[in-house]
Amino acid sequence: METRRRFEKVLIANRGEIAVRVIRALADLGRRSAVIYSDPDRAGLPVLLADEAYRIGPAASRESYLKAEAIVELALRIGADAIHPGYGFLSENARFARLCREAGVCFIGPPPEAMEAMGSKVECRRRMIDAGVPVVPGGRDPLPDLDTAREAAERIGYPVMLKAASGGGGKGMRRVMNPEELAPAFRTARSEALASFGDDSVYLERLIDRPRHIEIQVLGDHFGKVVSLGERECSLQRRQQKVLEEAPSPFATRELRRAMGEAAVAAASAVGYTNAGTCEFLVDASGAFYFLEMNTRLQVEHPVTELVTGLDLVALQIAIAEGYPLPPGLENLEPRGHAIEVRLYAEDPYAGFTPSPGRIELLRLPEGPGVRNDCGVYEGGEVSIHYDPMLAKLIVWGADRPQAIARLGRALAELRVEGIKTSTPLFRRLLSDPDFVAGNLDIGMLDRKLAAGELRPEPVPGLEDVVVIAAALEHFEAGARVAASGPKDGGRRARWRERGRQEALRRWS
Amino acid sequence: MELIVKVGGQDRRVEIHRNERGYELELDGQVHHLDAVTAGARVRSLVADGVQHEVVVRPRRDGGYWVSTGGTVTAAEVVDPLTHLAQKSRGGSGDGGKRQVRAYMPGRVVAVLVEVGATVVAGQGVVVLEAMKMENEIASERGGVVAKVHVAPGEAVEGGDLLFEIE
Repeated sequence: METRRRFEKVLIANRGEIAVRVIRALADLGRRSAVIYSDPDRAGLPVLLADEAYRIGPAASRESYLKAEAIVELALRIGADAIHPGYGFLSENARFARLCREAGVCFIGPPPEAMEAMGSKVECRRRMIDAGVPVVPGGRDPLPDLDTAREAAERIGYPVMLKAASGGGGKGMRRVMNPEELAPAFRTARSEALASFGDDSVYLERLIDRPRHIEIQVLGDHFGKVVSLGERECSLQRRQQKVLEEAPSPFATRELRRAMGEAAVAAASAVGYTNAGTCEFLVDASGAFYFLEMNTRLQVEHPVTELVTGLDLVALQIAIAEGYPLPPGLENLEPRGHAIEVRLYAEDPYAGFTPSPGRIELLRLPEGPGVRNDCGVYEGGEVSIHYDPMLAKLIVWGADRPQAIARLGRALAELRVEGIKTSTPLFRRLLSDPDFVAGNLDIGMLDRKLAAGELRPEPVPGLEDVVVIAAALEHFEAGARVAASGPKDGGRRARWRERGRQEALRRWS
Repeated sequence: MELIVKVGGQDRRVEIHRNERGYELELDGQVHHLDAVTAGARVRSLVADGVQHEVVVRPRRDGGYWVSTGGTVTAAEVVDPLTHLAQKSRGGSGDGGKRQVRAYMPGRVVAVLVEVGATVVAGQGVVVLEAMKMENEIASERGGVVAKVHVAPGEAVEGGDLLFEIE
């Protein structure tokens, strides 16, 4: 580790809410922030809030936020000491981290070697097994024939899951509950794998029925110390995309937290990990947990950990990158209270989750006790068609889970977003779902409920009358306004009762 | 003033008058006393018999309104009774039998799936639009013969832009 150095200026190689999050951390520390922006992001919130802003290219990510060389060159040109990659884009790109290192600009994240070790599925699995980290029983070796498959299944233990070696997205996946089901499942999985990926090799894993997704936040410094900051429950997912996260997990006991934390620390230590990272695990109903993968960056859902630990993870990332040791007292932190985050996407949850770009005509964010907004947009701004549709994260804190749920309900009721559709109505509905309230979560739960149509909005009695009255009134007043501005000016005049006539003129002209 | 409000496929008759305390409004034979004020650019606060409703009303391109309240957004059209009668006698279709397929969101045209003269069935995809890293198929609501194609692959479109006409 090189000597300690203070970052006077940090370049943020990202956009949207996470760029805003990093700008805030830098401002809190009294450092200068610089952002890059693509053409459609020129008037975006990060540009408005940062100390410096530099155009990086046109809309397409390939020609802007993914231009590794240009970003490093920019950092050198403007005298930035470090680059914060946020999440997505170049954040898990080992080549980019290496470019930074070679240029003498600090990459705020793990070393490229650790990224590569965690990025290769086969290599990672081997190293995790060596480090004593539990992984899903099974093997990645392709099964050449049915007999090999049978042997493997007996060794792993039923039920098992057949998976396509070059697959993803559920194609070529087959559950096998008992030995009788193996032969037909093996045939269909192979033919599906061939049809979908042009490769019929399949492998076997232990089937973990209705698992939870629970992940551990870790921090590692440059002095060999790695700590766990506890877990986040991320089982509520739609098509493997997280939509709501909480800390602590309603399922985790102190013992499970400690055991998973030790496994995550072992996993990170095995690859020489530094800075912030997250180990993802599948957890079954008995509390057995299996390492899935490590995200070698700051996570979208890091605020729930911040709210129950009182830490600023971005500030800690910066301190670690500057060469400071981890502060004392981080081991075996027990969460204080309960935090929940929802991701607000510009999409219509009741029209197949189609994206809903456009102008935000009205935005009123919730406030009050226990409410935090990590928002990347503003009223009057445009939601571009070019990037991920996540607009903002709404995070609440309560003394316990019921209070956090109640506050989230209250905050969602206060939230107003007009002009674009958002996922808000789905969250409002989810909060009254008995399984959610009871904490009975698994990674397939949301997809099952959506498929069964269980989360449709409940009709509110009398609501349509309000719509009829509001529309009639609007039309009545619009007509009055036209009449008032007509040649005779003797007609009825719009007179919404307002605080001042100035305002009335502006609003209705 | 008498108005017809079209919401959710229904025609609702509303009689509306202004008085010194706000409005008197008759709906389905019931009289409501309404106090209504603006509370921001498009926000209206309606108080009816002591109960407050915050409503956001936005004009639509076609002259109607989007009305948001209680977490839902509803399209509403308001006409005077005479226009309403005229519309009814024309049979509701004043466009010579042509059906228009419009983009419901802005995006980039990735593919045009049918040609002029092709027969499409209701629900058939006609254009693929890309927005926010996702491809979305725009379907024709009605069946018929493609009369005109207004877009080509690579073009950018705005929400509401005309894509297709179907006869």
